[in-house]
Amino acid sequence: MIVADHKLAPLVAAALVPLTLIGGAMAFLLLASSNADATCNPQGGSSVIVDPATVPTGTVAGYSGDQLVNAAHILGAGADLGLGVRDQAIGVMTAMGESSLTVLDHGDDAGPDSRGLFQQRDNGAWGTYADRMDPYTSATNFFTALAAIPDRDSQEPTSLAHQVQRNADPYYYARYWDAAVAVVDALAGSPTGLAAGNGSASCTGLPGVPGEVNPNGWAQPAAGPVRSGYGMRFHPIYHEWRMHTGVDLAGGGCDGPIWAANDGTVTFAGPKAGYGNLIEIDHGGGLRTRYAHMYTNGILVHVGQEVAGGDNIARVGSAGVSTACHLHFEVMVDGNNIDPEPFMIAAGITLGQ
Amino acid sequence: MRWFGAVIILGLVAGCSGEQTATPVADSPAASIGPTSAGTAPAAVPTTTPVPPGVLDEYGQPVETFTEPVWDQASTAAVLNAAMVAMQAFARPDVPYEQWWAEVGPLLSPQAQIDYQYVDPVNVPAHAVTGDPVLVDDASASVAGVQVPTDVGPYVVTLSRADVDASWVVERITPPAGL
Repeated sequence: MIVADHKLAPLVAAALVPLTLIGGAMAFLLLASSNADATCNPQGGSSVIVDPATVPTGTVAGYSGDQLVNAAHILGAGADLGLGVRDQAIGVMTAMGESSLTVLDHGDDAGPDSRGLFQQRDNGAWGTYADRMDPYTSATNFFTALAAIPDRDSQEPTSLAHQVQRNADPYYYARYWDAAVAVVDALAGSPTGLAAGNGSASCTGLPGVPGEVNPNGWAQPAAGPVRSGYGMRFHPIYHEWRMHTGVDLAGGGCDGPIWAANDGTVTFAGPKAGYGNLIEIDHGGGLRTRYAHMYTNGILVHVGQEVAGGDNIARVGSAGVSTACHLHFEVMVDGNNIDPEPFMIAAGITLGQ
Repeated sequence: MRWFGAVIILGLVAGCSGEQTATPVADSPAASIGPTSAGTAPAAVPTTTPVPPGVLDEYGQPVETFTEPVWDQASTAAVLNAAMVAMQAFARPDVPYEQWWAEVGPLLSPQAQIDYQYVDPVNVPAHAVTGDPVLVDDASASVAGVQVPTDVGPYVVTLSRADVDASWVVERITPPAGL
């Protein structure tokens, strides 16, 4: 029996002793944590330390000159508070979204009293006018509020920035994450372990891995091999037939990439009994595909999002009733499960290969 | 659409009446899936035979089936109204947070409730809905994008429904570009 999270071993052992008797036709059942360890963020947590006098002379992701100097002041404020590079990048991302890394001496329609890199308001929470206009001091006040948020390494960068800023759109800052990573890496002079594409993902250290798409738009949902096929099995303990409604793929193990099987709209992305977490994509015409057992931090899409075949929509996990890390993949036609293997073969994809 | 061929095969087996059901099953895989799929005809033709009632899945839950929702007049009217109600509740920067959240929160999906609980309404730039909502994304009948005009430009409200009988809930309230 493989225990996905060693910290849960005692709990698992206590809760599932009877289930360890199950073998053969039914996989071992295992309760897994709703979140993987926080190893998906840059390791070590050390700060990036940059001298504002020696920032790059060129343009980085569209930012240059004083903008990069201001980014260096933000990094310095984070470092002086002992924060790691993930938090530092969130500071840079936030200031990009608020002021384009420029010390603004004006606000906007929603907040005419907002000032500085972080557009902090004159409500007493952010110090004096001079404090709000000073790059280092305003960043220090931003980071102090950020550091007070519990469990922040398991939350998305845009959500953390939003919780400090209390702006009107929780997803607003995600679009600045990639540029923030580029600026932090450029100022640090070497890669910091942060990966682009993760402004809305709590795992900021894992890069996206696009899948291969065949000429008809179909992709493998995950790497093989097939661990378990579709169909009825006789349960050795409960002595009744039970339905395996999908195909289990090894998927490259924990954190392996899960890819959208084809273009579609995400109709579900979140917890579901048994599945741990489930993503469902509606491809139109009565066809839906489903992807299960990801940890919460392995869900990379949201309801309503349009995805393309081969998009890295999730990372393999072991949430719910699961045999360690794998992908459970389902195909539904007109609301009924069908066997995914022959369906995908007809689309030019042999699952597991 | 690229997956259409495969669906047609399934539709034939299930006895559905698609517009191309005259195509013989044996000929359809290569012909309808595309030029590169010649030689990859299915080894076994999948079926949509429903699982008998009462059968449990591997997790001990009844095997799930559902009625695929469609866009009909009632669905469209309901989603437009839900988007309108949500935008009217959201675009009130003059309402205190407690009252604002008590009225906005119940309109949101569980995930959106987690994400939107930190919004300070004083920072919402819109003050009023200024026109009729329009359905702008109907690619899935489970999810809708509804454009709602406001005094600062058109918002897009994204909504979802769990099944054909469920109410629409708000997933996202996306401001106009630049706000």
